Amino acid sequence: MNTTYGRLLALVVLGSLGFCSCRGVPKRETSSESPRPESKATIGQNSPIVSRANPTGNPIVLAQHTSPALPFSAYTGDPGQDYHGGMSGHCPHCSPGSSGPFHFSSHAEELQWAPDGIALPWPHDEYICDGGDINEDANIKKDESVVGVDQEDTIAHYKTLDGRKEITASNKVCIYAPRFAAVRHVTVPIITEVHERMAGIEKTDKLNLHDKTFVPTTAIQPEAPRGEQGIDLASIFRERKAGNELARTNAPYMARGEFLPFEDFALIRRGVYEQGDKPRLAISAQAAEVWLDKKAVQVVIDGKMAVEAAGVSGSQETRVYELEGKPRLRICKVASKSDAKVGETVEFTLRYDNIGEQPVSNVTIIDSLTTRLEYVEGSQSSSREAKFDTQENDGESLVLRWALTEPLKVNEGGIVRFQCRVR
Amino acid sequence: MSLTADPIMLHRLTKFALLAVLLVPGGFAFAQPPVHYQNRADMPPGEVGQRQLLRGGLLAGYFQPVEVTAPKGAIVSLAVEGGFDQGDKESVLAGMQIGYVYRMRVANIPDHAGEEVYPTIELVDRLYPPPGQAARFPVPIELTAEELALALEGRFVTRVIYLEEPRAALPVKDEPKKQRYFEIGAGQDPLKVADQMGRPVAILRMGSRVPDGLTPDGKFLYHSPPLLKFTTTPVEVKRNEGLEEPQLPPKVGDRQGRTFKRLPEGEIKRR
Repeated sequence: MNTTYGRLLALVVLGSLGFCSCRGVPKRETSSESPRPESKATIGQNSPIVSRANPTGNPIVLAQHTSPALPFSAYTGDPGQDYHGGMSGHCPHCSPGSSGPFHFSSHAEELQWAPDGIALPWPHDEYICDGGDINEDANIKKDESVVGVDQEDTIAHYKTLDGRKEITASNKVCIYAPRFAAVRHVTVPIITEVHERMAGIEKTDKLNLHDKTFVPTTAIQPEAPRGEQGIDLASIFRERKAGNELARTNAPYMARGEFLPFEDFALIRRGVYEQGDKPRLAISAQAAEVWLDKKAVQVVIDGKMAVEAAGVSGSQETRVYELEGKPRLRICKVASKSDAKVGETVEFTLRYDNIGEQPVSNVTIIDSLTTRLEYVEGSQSSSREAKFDTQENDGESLVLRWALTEPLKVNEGGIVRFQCRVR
Repeated sequence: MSLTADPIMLHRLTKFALLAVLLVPGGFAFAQPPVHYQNRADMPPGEVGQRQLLRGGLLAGYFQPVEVTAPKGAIVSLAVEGGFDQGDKESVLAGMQIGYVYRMRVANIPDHAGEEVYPTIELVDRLYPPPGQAARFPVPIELTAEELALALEGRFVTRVIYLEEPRAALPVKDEPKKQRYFEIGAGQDPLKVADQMGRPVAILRMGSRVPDGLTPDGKFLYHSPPLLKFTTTPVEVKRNEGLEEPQLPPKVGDRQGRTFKRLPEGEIKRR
């Protein structure tokens, strides 16, 4: 009996041990874990962040966080294979199962998420998106004015060491926020419909009188002409000449006030081609040639283009400076929510990093909000010193602009945050 | 110096002429083709929804949450099993299917004591919210006091609720409890106008119809189509973005509801 109890007890103990080992808490990915206390102690402000080792066992120094503008755990430099967006090891807006490395996604990729069991494409009008360069036409001019920034666009432009102006776009962030409206139609329905028809007609009156009107057969003219007066023709012509000097001015009436100053050519005014007009005509032809390309009138004489052939090449020297390293700025955008109802507030964060090989200056971040996002006044903050201003865009929302006052060194970055209300 | 033909300029002119020849017929080809609308809002109730089902897609069998709001004090009752339920005050949230017509009774209308209006709701499309968020983002249908009064006067009110296209949305601030609407003229079709402004999802018809006798018959109630009524406010589901489990249809009694046929993995990702 004791032996049986002993065996039963042993079975229960073994079974419970087996359960404990099988139902253990799954280990989470290391990228989402909070830093351990000992690692906090070892990683200082100026010490490199060593996050993983290569197959040979040597530690790989990813980047050195030197900017005081970023949080301590911030990571700059080229994202590695284990980086998935920083939230629980998974990109919040990537499609399920996409665990690849971080990359800038396109508009089509952002909408690759689909409801369960529905084949793509599916309607995406329930989402509002912000970020990226929607038409891929954002550009910066020589005078540093930015063109082609449409609604939803989020871009950053900067100046490289050799003076070039570069532009880069962020990723796109989509938030589920459907908004509804209605079309109303009010009518008065016909309740009663009655058809009436004339059944008959009764007329009691008869014709009892008939008048006949005779046609006149004779016309009498009451008055006749009594006489005729003849008109004599002129037989005498008197000419009167004044003794004064006769002055007469012959002016081309149709030309007065019609020709413009630049039309002062004999060819145009009188149709006579003069040698003296040649140089002046060549200049005008040149002006016309500038406007030739699909823009304005063309000058054609005898079916041939009027041109002035003149050499414009002069002695010149071209110097090409090649600086070491390539400039590159990365800008990434994330939202605090993936879905929001009308009236709720969503916080956006823009993270920019100089992941190139040379410092960049005049870094300016521009975010043109979409129509349904309303900027919450005074909600922006920047980790680096920046000049902030706003401007209204086509969608009656705002264009937010941060101009960094200091250049951005290699591997340095910053964060910009702002809030928007979904309307 | 003489004006002679420059070969470069001649080449440019030739290109320009060639482009003009190519683009003129091309412009006609890119023009918007004429749209023939097969559906109208004044079709018999249920016709538009049924036609939508014929087009295919994951529309049939899905309970699309709909939130009906009425003026303060009014009681909204839904048609359930051949009669009206006891009703909810001011607001009711229920899942409705596309292609059916749902009759409601609005009673206790402010300033119209003792009078009742019997609107109908017809869903013509559905939403595709993230998993677990369907009840949080229902299709809103507002019964305004003005429209209820119009219906009581004998007018017929048609309201087509549509989903706004985000990029073409009006830059106005919406009040969450108040639905924005546009009034159209007598000769216009509200379904067509709504389609031009967004994606129509529901049609509300109201007025000119009262049940015969004390007990409404099945025809008046459109045979009480299946309904999924939310008795409590839906709880906000914690998101696990990108890792959501596939949603199962709700249980009917002890039985698990009908499972939608899922597409194979390769088919889902195929564009």
